Order: sequence, then structure tokens, then C-alpha cells
Amino acid sequence: MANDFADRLRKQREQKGLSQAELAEKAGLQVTAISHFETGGRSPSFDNLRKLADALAVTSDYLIGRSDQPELSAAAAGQLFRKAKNLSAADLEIVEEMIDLMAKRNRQDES
Amino acid sequence: MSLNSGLSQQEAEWCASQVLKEAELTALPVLPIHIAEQKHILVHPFSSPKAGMLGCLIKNGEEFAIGYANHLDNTGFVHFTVGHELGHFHLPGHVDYLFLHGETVHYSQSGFVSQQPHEQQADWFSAALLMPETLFVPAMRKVGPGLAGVKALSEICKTSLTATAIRYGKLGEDPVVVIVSSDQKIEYAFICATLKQIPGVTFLRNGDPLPDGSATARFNRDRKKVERAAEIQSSISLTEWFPDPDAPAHEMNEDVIGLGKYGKTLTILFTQDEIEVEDEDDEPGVDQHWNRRR
Repeated sequence: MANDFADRLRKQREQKGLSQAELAEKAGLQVTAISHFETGGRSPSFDNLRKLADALAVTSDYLIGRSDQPELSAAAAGQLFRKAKNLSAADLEIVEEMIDLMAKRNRQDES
Repeated sequence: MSLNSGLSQQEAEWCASQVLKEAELTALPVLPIHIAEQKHILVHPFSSPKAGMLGCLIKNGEEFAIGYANHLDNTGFVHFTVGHELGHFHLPGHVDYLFLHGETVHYSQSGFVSQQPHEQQADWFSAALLMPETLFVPAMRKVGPGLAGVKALSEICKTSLTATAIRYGKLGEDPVVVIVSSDQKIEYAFICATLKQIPGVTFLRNGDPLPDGSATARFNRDRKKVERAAEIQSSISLTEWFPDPDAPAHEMNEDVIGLGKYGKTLTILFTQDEIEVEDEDDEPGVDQHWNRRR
């Protein structure tokens, strides 16, 4: 993931015309963290990833190389987990229940 | 950096302190479910827990959810499990470990039982999040030592007895060993830094038999005591637990409590006295004393 992430983060930042300092401010991170991420000297957390993805308007899966599509369609979001590896029937039951709850919460947030 | 190192623990402590700072939490108890809500992470109990697994982190697009097993009916366990999953979410470098091969759900065995370095780091994060040093140490100084103190701290922090005991051993000034056992065997143990400096105080390994002469061994012979969370206080020589010829024969307090539905027993060995150790390299008759870490 490390090289994909460093490269994709830098490319996306440059495509959006942002300096490291501007991205840092937009994502609520330290500018040194952006620099370390882009040189591969530091690995992000999920918290960092989510902030960066939000600031760059791309998906975190794209940033870490799990997807080649920078944007995630709403339809695809709910289907991704069903294609995930290593999901037993019991796993799937738990994941489906949690994802249904997430969707329900989102609907409540929107209304 | 090896994750299984002091640096890994320091990173977990630092990361937890940053999360607390961001959440503007400055008093005990720290409730991890509130932190998750602030991060827009859904927290929900499993309806059908997977055997042996206490928690999970689910990623779906940009959204996260934490699932936890609540079959033990123990708030402290739930808090530690949620704190552990928050550790996976906040700690650098856990992205690859959790979802490297395309997984969407990661199951955890929190509670200091896993040997996997990322799981161990998430445990240290959870302990530091729920029992931050700056708040835990002043609280610890107000309560007594041993199990009585741990129980009081567990009430204050809303944490499990085991996690609280390990934190007490890590941040306290007294020499402490925390042991979790079942039947006549050790499941895992934590030896504080002060005691690790003492000659002959070596590791207590998973699967090692409990010392015959220990109160813990006697306690565990009666399963009902474990189930009804009975307690006993006793004393024992350090050499009973650490039969190394170099270990000093120091009398330790041995506080024991059954962990109820969890089916295990918690033992806290501690002393508030100085432990005297004869050092062969020193002049005859000159002893070294251990009882304070700093």
C-alpha cells in the first residue's frame, strides 16, 4: 500500500492544485504529516485516510490502491463488502447487519 | 520499528493522548462509545458473536462501524473492546494489517491475549485511552494498593478488572505482577518494569502451571469461586512464583478474584516494601533495594 498511497496522494493533491500546507489545513492534519506520507516515511491511520480522502474528494480505497476509481458511486458502496474476500456466512451476516444500520443512520442524518 | 517494542507502546500512548485531546476529554471515565460517535463510527453489539472474538472493525466505503460481543454482560470488557477497535482506526500502519487482502471486516481478540503485534498495540492504545496516565495516576494515589485499589479504579474508569490491574502494574510505583489463570494454568501475565529488574524474576508463560503453594491454585480448585467472583487475600514468597535460584524470597501479597462469566481468575501479586537483593558483584553485605521505579 505504501508506494500506491504516497504516489496517489501526491498526484491527487497536485491535480487539485493544492500545496502540502493547503491540503494539511483542509484535512486538519500537520503539514509535516503530509510531507511524510508523500515520501513514504510514514503510514497513515484510517482516521488520517478518511480526512485526506474527504479533503481531496476521492475514496480512501483509491488512495491506498484498493480501487482504481477515485470516486465511489453510491450504488457501489453498498455492494463492495459482498465482493470482499474471506467473508464466511457468519461474517456476512454480521457485516450486513452493521451496514444496514449504517445506512439507516445515514438516512436519519439526511432527513 | 518493531511493533512489539517499547516504542510501539509509546506510540500507542501518544496516539491515545492525541485522540483524547481532539475529543476534549479531561476527566474519568473516558467513554469510548462517545469518542466513536464523535468520529461518526457506528458502535453496535453483535447479534451473533463469532466464537472467541470480542470485537470487529468494519469498513464500508468511507464509513466505519465497530461491533462488540456483549455476552459477558461486562461494561469494562465492552469499553476495552471498543477502545481496541478505535486503536486500529487511529494507529498509523494498521491499514495494511487489517484490510491488506481486500477484507472488509476485521475481528479482534482484545484484552492482552493476542501475540500479534498490531493487536497488542491496539490493546495498549485502549488502555491508554480509557486510563490516561495524567488522570489515572492521581486517581491511583487516592486508592489503596492491590485488588482493593484496582476495584476502586475499575469503578472510576469503567474498565475491566484485568485491564485496570495491568494499568496499575504499568503506571504504579509498587512492584506488581498481574496474572490471569484458569484451572491450574497461567493464561498470561504482566510483570511491572520494577520487578523485571530483579534477578530471577523471569517470564511467566502461557500454559505454565500455577505454583502448588499459591492461593490462586487453591482458589481455582473450586470452580464456583471463579463463577461467583469470590475473593481471597493471602501472602506468598516471590520464589514460589519465580523458582529461580537468584529470585529473592520476598513476601508478596497475593490478592485473588474470580472473573465470573469470563471463567478466569485474576491474581495481583504486590508489595509496598522494599525488595532486598544481594548482589554478588558488590561488597559482601551490601544489598540492593528495589521498590520505586522513579
